[in-house]
Amino acid sequence: MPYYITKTGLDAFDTARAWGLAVLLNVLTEDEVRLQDAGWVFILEPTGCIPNNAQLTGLSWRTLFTTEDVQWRQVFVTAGDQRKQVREILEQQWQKALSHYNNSSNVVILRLGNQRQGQTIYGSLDPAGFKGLRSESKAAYKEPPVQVEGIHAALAYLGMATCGYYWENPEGKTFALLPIPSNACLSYYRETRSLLKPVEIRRRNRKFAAYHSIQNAAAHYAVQLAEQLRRRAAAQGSLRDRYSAVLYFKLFGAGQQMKPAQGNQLRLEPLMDAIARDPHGTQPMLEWLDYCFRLGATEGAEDLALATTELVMRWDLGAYDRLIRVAVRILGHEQVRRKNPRDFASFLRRTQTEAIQQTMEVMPHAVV
Amino acid sequence: MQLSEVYQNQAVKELGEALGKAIGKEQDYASLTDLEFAQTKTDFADALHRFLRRFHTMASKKENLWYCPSDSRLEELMQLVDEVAKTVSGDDNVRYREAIRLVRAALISRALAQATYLRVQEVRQQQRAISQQGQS
Repeated sequence: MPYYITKTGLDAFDTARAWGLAVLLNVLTEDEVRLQDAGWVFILEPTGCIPNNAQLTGLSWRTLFTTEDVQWRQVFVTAGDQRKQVREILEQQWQKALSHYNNSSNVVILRLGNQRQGQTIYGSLDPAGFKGLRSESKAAYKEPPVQVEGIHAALAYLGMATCGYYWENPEGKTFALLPIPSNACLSYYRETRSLLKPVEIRRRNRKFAAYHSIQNAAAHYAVQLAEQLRRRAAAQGSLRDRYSAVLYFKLFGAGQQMKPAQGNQLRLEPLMDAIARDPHGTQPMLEWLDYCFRLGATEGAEDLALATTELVMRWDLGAYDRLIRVAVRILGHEQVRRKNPRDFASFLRRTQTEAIQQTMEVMPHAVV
Repeated sequence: MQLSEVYQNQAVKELGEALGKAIGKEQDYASLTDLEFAQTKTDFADALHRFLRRFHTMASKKENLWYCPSDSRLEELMQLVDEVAKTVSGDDNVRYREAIRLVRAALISRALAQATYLRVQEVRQQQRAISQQGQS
C-alpha cells in the first residue's frame, strides 16, 4: 500500500517528512520501505503489511528516542529538546497520519502565525520555513513562524533526527546535511543512519575547523555518501539506491539562539550516474576526491579543499582545471607535507591516472 | 571533443609526462605558470617550446637519461589544438582560448599523475634506505 508525501515547497521539511514516514513504516511493518521521488510527491512503499494490533511500543521504537546516535538535541537546537512531545504525538496519532498520507491527493497546510494547535517548523529543520519578514510590516517588527499540524512536524523531526546529519563545528557553527532520496530503500533505520553518516575529519588542533564552509562539508559528505553507495553497488552488482541531492544549511549562534543561514542543494546525479556505469572503476576517483578534502583540511592547503568543493558542486571544465592546477602545486608544499604527513602520503598514492580519467568521465560538460 | 579523448592523445601523454618529471623531480613550476598564462595559440606554442628547451637541459644533466619528446610531438599537439578549436563555436579568439584550456587541462592532468608517481617512488626509496640502515 503506497503512501504519498505531497511536497509543500519547503525542501528540507518535505524530505525529512518522507524519511520520518519511512522510519515509522519500517518500525510498524518491521520490513523494508522503498522511497521514490516522483517530482511533486515522495512515494513510499512498505514491503510488509502493518499488523492489525500494531503499536509503537517495541524496542526499535523506544531506542529511536533514547540512543545517542539519533541527533534529537541538534534538531531542536533552536528551541530546546522536544523529543518527548514528538514521541507522544506519533504514538497517539500514527493511524491518523497513515490514513492522511495514504490518500494520494493529501495536502499539508502551512500557516503563518502563533497558534496553539500548530507546531512550529524550527530553523534547525528547514531554513526556508524559519520565521522572517514575508509580508509588509509597517507598524511592528513581528516575525510569525511557519506552523503545521503537529503530526506532520513530528514526522519531519523524526526524519531529520534519524536520517539527517548535524556536524558541530568547533567555531560554534552547526552544519546540517540531509540527503534527498531519488529511489532508495530503508531496511532498518540504524543501517540507513550508518550509511548516511559521514566520517568526520578529525583535527589535532580543535581550534581550527576541518571544513572551511558549509559547501565544503556538503561536498565531502556527497563524496563519502557516493563511496558508501558504490561499495554496495559493487557488492550487489548494480546501483539500487539512488540519491538526487544533498540539502545543506548552516546554523550559527546569534545571541541566545541558533539561527539558520546559507543553504542550498548539491546535485548528486553526476556521481550516481558514474557509479551506475562502473561501480568498481569509480573507486579510485572517489578515494582521490576524499583525500583531496582530507588534505585540504590542513592549514595551508585550503585551496585544495575549495577547488575540490567547486568540482563536486559543478562538474565542469573550469572547476576541474582549477583543481588539477592546485593539486600539482600542493606537491611542492613542504609545509603541508610536514603538518599532515599521513594524509599527504595517502593523497600521493591515490593521485593515479585511473582516478583522474574517471573524474574526467564524470564531467558531462568537459566538452568544448 | 571530450577531455578524456584529449587525455589519450600520444602527444599529450609524452609532453604531459615530461612536464610531470620536470615538476616532480626538478620543481619546475615556472613552466607550469608559463603554460597557465598562455591565452593564444602562439603564446601556448611558445610556452611549450620554452618548456621543451628547459627539459632538454634538465635531461642532459641526468645520469639516467630521460626520454625527451621530439619537436614533432609539439607539432602534433598544436594540430590537436586546431582540431579542438574547430569543434567550438564563436570567433577565433574564443575558439582557441577554449581549445587551449581543454588541451592544457589534459596536459597538466598527465603531469599531475606522473609527478605524484615520481614522488611516491622517491618516498619508497627513502623508506627502503632507512630500513636498510636500521638493519645494518
